[in-house]
Amino acid sequence: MSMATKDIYVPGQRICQLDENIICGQGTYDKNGFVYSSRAGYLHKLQSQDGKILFEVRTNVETTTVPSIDALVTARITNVTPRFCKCAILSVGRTLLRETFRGQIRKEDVRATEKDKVEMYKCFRPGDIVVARVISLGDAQSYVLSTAENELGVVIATSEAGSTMVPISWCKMQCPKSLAEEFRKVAKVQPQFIQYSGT
Amino acid sequence: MADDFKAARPLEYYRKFLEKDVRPDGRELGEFRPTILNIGCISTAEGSALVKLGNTTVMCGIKAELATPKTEEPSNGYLVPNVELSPLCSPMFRPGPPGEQAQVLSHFVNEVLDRSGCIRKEDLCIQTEKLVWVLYCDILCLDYDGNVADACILSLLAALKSTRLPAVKYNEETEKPETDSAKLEPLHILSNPVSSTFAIFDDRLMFVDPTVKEESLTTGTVTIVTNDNDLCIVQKPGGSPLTADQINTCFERAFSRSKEVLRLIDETLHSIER
Amino acid sequence: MAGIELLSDQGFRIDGRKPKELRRIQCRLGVFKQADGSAYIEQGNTKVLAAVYGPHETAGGRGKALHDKVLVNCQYSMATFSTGERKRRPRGDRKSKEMTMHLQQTFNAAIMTSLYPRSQIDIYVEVLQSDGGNYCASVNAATLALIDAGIPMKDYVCACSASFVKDCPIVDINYLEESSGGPELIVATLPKSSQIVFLEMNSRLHEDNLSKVLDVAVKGTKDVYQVLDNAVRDHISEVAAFHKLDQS
Repeated sequence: MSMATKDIYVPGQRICQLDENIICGQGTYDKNGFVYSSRAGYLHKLQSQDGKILFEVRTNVETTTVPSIDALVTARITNVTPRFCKCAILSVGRTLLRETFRGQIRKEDVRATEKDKVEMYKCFRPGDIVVARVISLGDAQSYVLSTAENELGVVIATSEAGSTMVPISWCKMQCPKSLAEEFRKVAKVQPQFIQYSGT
Repeated sequence: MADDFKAARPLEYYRKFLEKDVRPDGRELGEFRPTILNIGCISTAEGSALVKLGNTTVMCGIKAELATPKTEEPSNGYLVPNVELSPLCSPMFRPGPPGEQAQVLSHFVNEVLDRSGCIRKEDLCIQTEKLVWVLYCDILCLDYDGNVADACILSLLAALKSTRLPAVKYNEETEKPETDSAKLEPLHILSNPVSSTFAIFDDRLMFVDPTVKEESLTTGTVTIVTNDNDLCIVQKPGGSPLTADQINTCFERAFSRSKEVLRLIDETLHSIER
Repeated sequence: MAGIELLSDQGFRIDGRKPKELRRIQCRLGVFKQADGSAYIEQGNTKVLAAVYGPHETAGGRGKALHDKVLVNCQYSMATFSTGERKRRPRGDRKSKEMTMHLQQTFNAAIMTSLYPRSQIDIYVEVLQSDGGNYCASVNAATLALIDAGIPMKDYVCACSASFVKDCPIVDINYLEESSGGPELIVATLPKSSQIVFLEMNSRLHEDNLSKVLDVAVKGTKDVYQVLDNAVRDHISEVAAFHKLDQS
């Protein structure tokens, strides 16, 4: 349960003395036994189960984040090759990014089972929107993502005819207009989170 | 949720709004964004103006220098416009020499100054073959949210109207200019060029004053510069084809926009003089 | 310069200020929508804009990316109409490159760089009108822009200049005072901890006078800090009120 106080804190302002019950969250840092604020905003205190208090300084406005390891990201596939596919990371968790970051999904990270029998072209196509997890900060080129879980994979895809496809199984999607089936690595989204629009 | 849809499927997002003849920011298809004008903000420049067209912010500064005229045009001064799109105004631009868009805009402003004849080069002459004024018109884009061309022309016109040059006499004996900084004279502005940009969407719909998001989804643009009651420049660089009727509606809208803009400039200038 | 008294007998400067008085500072945060953070500051007649983009992916290939820190990239530029005589090269000349490097070093010390590895933060500063104290106004504007962008920093960075005229230290010098040939001391500090991040001095100053001038400059930065702090707090409460109205 987060409690926002009425106090505004600015960078460099001391919040309180550091002791074992306090964890420094986003927007704060500790130095010389005291907790200081590193951003301008309101102080939020979160009480966690084991009695520790988490201090955070933030405002209502979302600020840009950077993909970190184990974060869930939404990405758009840009290139597909037999060994890996390149994508543009659009958002990290719930925060929409202003500028996209580069990511890649390697052949062996697409599925948890039968990793060597994967055919990239039957899992992703350029233009698909996927949900993936960051497994490594990567090399000089891009972040390394993985869809090797049931809940990860393609969420929105357009068929060759041009309309948004409906998932039928974990590996197939169907176009409502032409009734053609296409192969994709589909994300198993919980039914209560699905909202179909008129198209 | 709407933000995610807008990021993942921008074209569909826009189509849903345009079907109802309105745009996501609530404007109608023929409506310009609210325009704010601030004249004379920079005291080190001879003339200056800041224009905010919605979020697009453009500043124009006019610096005047004395120079000798070109030998083939001995009684003409010069006007040197320059548009700068720095990385400050948008993540699209990278540091370095002026990119393609900045150069195209600079050329466009130059054309407008030439064709509209709003300043006669002869008026900038102090002494034929010896001394003329050079007006450097530097236009700096501070916040790029689409339709920079219109904002540039507006800021240029407002800055030129507010420019005050000191009186200069050419001393024949010493061959040196004599400036009298106490006496300041305004420029003679003979006409008022005003620009309006239209964007074409999906090959059929037209709307006015695109934002940066809209610019990335359009299939073509048309820029019309009117000069009081005449048409001055019409630019349609490729893009979707238009019918003659559509172009005529654009002309009408451009003329009505010109009246709105000139009224705004006059009001702002009057409020300063008071 | 003969004929111009930098400090009159009554103790007033050319623009009517007392020796320890700062110029009037007006500032605003969040002036641009495209930038992640932006600020505008007016110190007397010096007008400076700052815009911050980031953190985002390193441009120009990831070759330049640092594996454990964020890359801070600055650009200092003066508008051609900012000075009395038109400036031919807004950036790229030696003075601008030197200022850019100083800004970069200053902010590397203040931003918590380890939070965003392999990313880049861009700080762009544009001087619209120059009347002395360009570096100081740039640092102050950049600090406000970084706070507006929500980038974590150890503390504010406030800068102030000082000089020494007729046995009296003067603070926040303008263009006329700068060009008169006297010594010029520019200092940038983290005000809460009174630590100096950047110090530069031009011209000759006797060592006995150094501590006087330095003290006056550091006090100047604390005064600047007060003004900037008020502006930040006003901005935060305005933004919060706006959002509450939005949600209700």
